[in-house]
Amino acid sequence: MFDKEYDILGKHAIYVRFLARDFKINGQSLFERYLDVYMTGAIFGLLYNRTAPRDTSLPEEANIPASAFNTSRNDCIFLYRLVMLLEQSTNVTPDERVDRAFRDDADEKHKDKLAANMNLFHSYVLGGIEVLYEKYTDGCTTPDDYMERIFTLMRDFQEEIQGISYEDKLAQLMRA
Amino acid sequence: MSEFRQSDLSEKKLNQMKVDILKAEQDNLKTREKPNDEMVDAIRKIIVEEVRKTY
Amino acid sequence: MLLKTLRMVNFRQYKGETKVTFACGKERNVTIILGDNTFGKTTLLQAFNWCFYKVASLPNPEMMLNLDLAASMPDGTSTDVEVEITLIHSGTEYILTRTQEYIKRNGSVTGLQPSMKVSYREKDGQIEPIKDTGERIKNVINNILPQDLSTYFFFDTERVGAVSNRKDLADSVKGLLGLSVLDNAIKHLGTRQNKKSVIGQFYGSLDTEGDSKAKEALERIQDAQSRREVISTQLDQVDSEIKHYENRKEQLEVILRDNQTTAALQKKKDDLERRIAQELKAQGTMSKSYLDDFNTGSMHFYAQPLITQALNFLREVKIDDKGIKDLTKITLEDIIKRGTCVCGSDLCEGSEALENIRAEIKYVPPESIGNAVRNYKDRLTTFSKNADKIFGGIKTRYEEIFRSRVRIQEWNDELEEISEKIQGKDNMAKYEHELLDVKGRLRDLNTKRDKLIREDEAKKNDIERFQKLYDGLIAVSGKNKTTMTYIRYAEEIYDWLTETYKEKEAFIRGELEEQVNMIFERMYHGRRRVSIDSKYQVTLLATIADQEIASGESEGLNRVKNFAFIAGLVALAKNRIVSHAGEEEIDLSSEPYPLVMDAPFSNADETHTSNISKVLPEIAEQVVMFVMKKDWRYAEPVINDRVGAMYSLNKLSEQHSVLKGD
Repeated sequence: MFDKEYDILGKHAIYVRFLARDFKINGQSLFERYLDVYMTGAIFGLLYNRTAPRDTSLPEEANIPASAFNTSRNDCIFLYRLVMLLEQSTNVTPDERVDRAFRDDADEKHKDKLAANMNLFHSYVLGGIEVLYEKYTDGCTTPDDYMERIFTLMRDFQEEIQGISYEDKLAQLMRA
Repeated sequence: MSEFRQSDLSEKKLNQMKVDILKAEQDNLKTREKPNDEMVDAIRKIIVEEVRKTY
Repeated sequence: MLLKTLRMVNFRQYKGETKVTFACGKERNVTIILGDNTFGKTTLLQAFNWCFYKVASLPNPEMMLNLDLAASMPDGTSTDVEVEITLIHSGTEYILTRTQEYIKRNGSVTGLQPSMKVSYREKDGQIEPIKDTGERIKNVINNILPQDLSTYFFFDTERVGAVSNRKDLADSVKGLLGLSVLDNAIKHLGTRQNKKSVIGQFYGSLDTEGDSKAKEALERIQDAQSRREVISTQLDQVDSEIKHYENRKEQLEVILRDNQTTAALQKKKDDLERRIAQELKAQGTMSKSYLDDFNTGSMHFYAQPLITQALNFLREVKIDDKGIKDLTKITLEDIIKRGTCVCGSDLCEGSEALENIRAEIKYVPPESIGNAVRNYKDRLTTFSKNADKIFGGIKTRYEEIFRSRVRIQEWNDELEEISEKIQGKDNMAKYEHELLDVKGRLRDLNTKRDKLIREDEAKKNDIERFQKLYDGLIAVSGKNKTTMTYIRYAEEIYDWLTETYKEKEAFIRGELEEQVNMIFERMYHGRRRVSIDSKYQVTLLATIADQEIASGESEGLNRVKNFAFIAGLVALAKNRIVSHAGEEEIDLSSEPYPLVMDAPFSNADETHTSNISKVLPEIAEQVVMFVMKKDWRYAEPVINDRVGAMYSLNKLSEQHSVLKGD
């Protein structure tokens, strides 16, 4: 797996292009490669439990070449297994989950299983791309806004996973 | 200048020279005939003549 | 000078013959010419100028011929333009006639060179022409009325303002007041150092009996003297330049002083702009690092909770962990297919190696995933190991950027404030530049000045030295004794002349000032006084708090001042200045002059108008006044009993005016 190119279509293509090519701050875009959006998309798809089908309604395309996958193949495989382990859209037993995550890709006899898994994986990638686009661009106009958004997202995320006292936070917010 | 001053200048001659010189200047003012160097010559002649005069 | 008559033939608008006889009486010496503007007054005035000096301030001066005549005269014919003035000067009656012939050729009219005839009437009534050597006639006319001064007597309202600004007025006034005779005599007699003068020549002719040293000494003296004169002129020039630049320096310093804060603000502005630019550049670098960090780290950062979840999940599940990392069934089957093991052993059917590999398949995915899972768990723990560091790094960078932005914002706010303050004021840089330049020039000029002064001193010393030498060397031979006598007489006369001149000049100037003030007071009622300096510049002084200071002048006041000056000049010229010199009385007086005035009232108000009308005839020997009909009613009551002749000017068309006597 991850040995050939992948085409992102429709609105997801637009999102990916924006994040990794079209929008630039001081000549630099938010994400370096389409693949970076793809991979982060996988994570965000999981985090926000969001999937999306391929969008063929628009004639848009963003292509990730095979060569790109080559350099990050291990990371992609890692993310694939992560999605297989943690995704919540299907109803499978834990054992089935483990098998799905670790056996299916080596099972020559049942290549269809891998195909189905990849579909599942990509649905999370695409869903995650939607989340990325929303979170990183909603309400931003100036380059400074985008820069700030990057930080505030990370900061809030960190706060949340480290466990903040909501009481304090709320009190703080109400004082302001 | 003082080395040469002696008291043997004739008062009469002096006055006559003054009259002649001023007359010459006045005339020339009217006619504007003579430029400066000619006037200088004329005045010099007045002085020389008067000194030489014996009356 | 007294004007008797003016006769014009075809001069400008005055078609045909026009004759004016001026009032010359002792009591009635005023001639009035009534007419409104554009009727031909200016032309009448300029007729005098044209006759006297061949110049006329009129539009189209090449065409003095009446335009109607010019149009109607047949081709190939010629018409004359003539202006003739009779006047009395120094007891002699003169007739001045200027004629210009105009020829029409091929429809266009051109004037030939004007000719001038001057004659005078002898005591027996006989009219004698003055031989025209061009220069001679010019000289005679200039003696009657010098051209430089003519504008004061043929009074042009426009030129009134120029009276007090004329620098060469001094000479002209001196001439008018009779000081020229003395002045010239002094100049011609000269001093021994001036070899172009009488005394200088006498000294030069002293017989040195071949004593070349004495001759040389004299030459040196006279050369040094000439050089001193040149230096004097140059010094005057340098001084005036220095004065000019000093003034400018002061001006600039005032400007810069007043705008000191602006200069400081400007500098601050430049400073801020520089800092902002620098900061923006730094910010650029910071953003890059920021985004780079984000790029490399965000995936690992955001994966944190997922990692935790996955680890938790895998802990629950029981998985055996035999087998080799990343070795899968597919890989092993590929090796079997190849026929040779990785280590090189032959994998033929029945070999031990083959059996081993087949056995291993049991422990690799998809048969056995234990290792795979174990490996994955390892990977999980390292994947987000640096999440905190990643976040810390991004946080720091972001705060840096934030602070930088705040700084820039503050500076921009300050910049705006400053820009507002500076707005409207000049950029001081150019003034500072000019000041440096001016200071440089002043330094140069002062150096030059010092140099000149030093040279002058040196020349003076030379003169003294060589004078002593000369005096010592000169042999008092017989020849020289006579020459020495000449010299003594000459020098005696010189001394007398210079003393007399000084006296007279101071006296005359004082008298002039007094005269002018008397007249001024009669025309203007207020606390002001006229002052005349040694260059005959006229200023108005006002007495404020017991101090007399030069006061600013309104236009009206300026005109009254200038009137007073002219009138004073004229009045003084009327008085005779007598100097006793032995048996004969020498009349150093000058001529009385008439005043021919073109609309002197149009800019003065009513009070001044009547004042001026009253005073002038009492001062000038003769007054010819061009008056607008509307102004006449102010002047008439005060002046009527002095009027000896009255003419009215009427305009029949643009090309034709008529002067009629009453």
